[in-house]
Amino acid sequence: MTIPVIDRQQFPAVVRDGDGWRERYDALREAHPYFRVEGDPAVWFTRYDACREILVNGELFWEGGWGQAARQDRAGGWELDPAWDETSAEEGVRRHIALRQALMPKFGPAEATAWEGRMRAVSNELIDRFEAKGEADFVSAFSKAYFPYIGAELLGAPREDWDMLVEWEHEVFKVPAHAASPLLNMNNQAMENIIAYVSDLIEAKRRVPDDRFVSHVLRAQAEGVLTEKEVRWASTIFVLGSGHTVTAHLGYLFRHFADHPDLQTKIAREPESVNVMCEELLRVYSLFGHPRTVTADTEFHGCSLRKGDKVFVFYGIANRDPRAAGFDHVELDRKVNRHLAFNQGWRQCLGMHFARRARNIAVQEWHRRIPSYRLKPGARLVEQVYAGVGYHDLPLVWGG
Amino acid sequence: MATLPRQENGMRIEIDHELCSGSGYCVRVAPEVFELREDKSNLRAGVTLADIDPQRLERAARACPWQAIRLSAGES
Repeated sequence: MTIPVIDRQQFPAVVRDGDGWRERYDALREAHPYFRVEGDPAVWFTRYDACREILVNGELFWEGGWGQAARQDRAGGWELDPAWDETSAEEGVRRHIALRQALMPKFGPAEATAWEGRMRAVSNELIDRFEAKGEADFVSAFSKAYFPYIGAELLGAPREDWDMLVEWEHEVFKVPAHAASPLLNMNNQAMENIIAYVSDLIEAKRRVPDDRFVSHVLRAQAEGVLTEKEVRWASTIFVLGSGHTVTAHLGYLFRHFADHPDLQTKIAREPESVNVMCEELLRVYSLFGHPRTVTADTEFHGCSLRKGDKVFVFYGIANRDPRAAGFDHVELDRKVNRHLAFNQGWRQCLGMHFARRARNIAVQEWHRRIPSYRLKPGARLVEQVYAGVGYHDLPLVWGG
Repeated sequence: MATLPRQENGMRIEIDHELCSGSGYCVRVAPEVFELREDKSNLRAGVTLADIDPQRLERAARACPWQAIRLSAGES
């Protein structure tokens, strides 16, 4: 079956006032179980079941760069995936799971619980800066720094470096408004800065270790559990993972809350309702996705794929598929939410528990301090469609 | 938030549902032992641990991206 090719004009990287892009992507999903974007070889799969299978089956749909994604080559391309067939990908998946298990002591729910006090403190420190003003750009005043600050502290970065990391993390994921694809191109100065910073931090922690993440992976290296490359990869990914996802997610949440004052009231009165509510809104307003490389010729959900083909899962498309049980409607108290917004399986976001806990606390603390607010009248919202920070800014007003 | 531990014949197994995210690798490795219910791993009803090859259980535990399956020596 021929793979449809969609005009790349339907995939702007940056949109104004929504542009109906999610609805447009929904329509593409309903029309096509898979398609290509003009000028790009990757096959986008759109239906939930296929997307979940891609993410879970690492042997057939491999995501490499593990341990090697510290630097792009001079030509601007990433280093080749080390696994090119199912056998080596099977070994790669096993290795990846073993390595993430070495990192687990720093990422589990118990660790996230231990950091709740800091999450509340950081939330309130940021809100202190603008609460009395009666207005703020939610992104630049709060969400841009909130999770990156927590991530920097978890990493072991000195406090005086946090704002610099926030700026680099913000810049590394920006795509130009007229980019040919909404997907990322991280071949930029901010990425170079992050790589160099992480390299220096690793050496600093080698000299003077502490109880934070970089020192943890260095101890794992000393025990022979991680290689030098894996230490660098894990530390770099830690910075990148802290930098944009929760920022964008919070932006989408507060945009929705600003339009739904009944939810603001509910959150202020029932802060325990936040987790399931925000998980559902994460499903509805997903960000990000992941590519994979096919490791063997295969027929996959009606599509003929060859070894070496690239496939792509855009979470915001799969997570709104009405074919997935319950996804045909929004349910803000959904108890079991099988969304894919954190990936699934062997590459599921290791920071998931931290992200959820930090997100919940940010929402709860904001509504404890500012229980009622609205979008500033006349605000024109600019949004980066894929990853990055989501909304470039989100002006809110309250009081008065 | 774990499943109640099961222990038989010197082996104890517990599944942490706060960690489990329903990836299903345990079911892939040992479908006669594990199943997903509401997107969480559970032991199948009627499973007798004494009948399961301990190495198979260990492979299933190792396959979990979240280390949600804990095996330990229990009381005989």
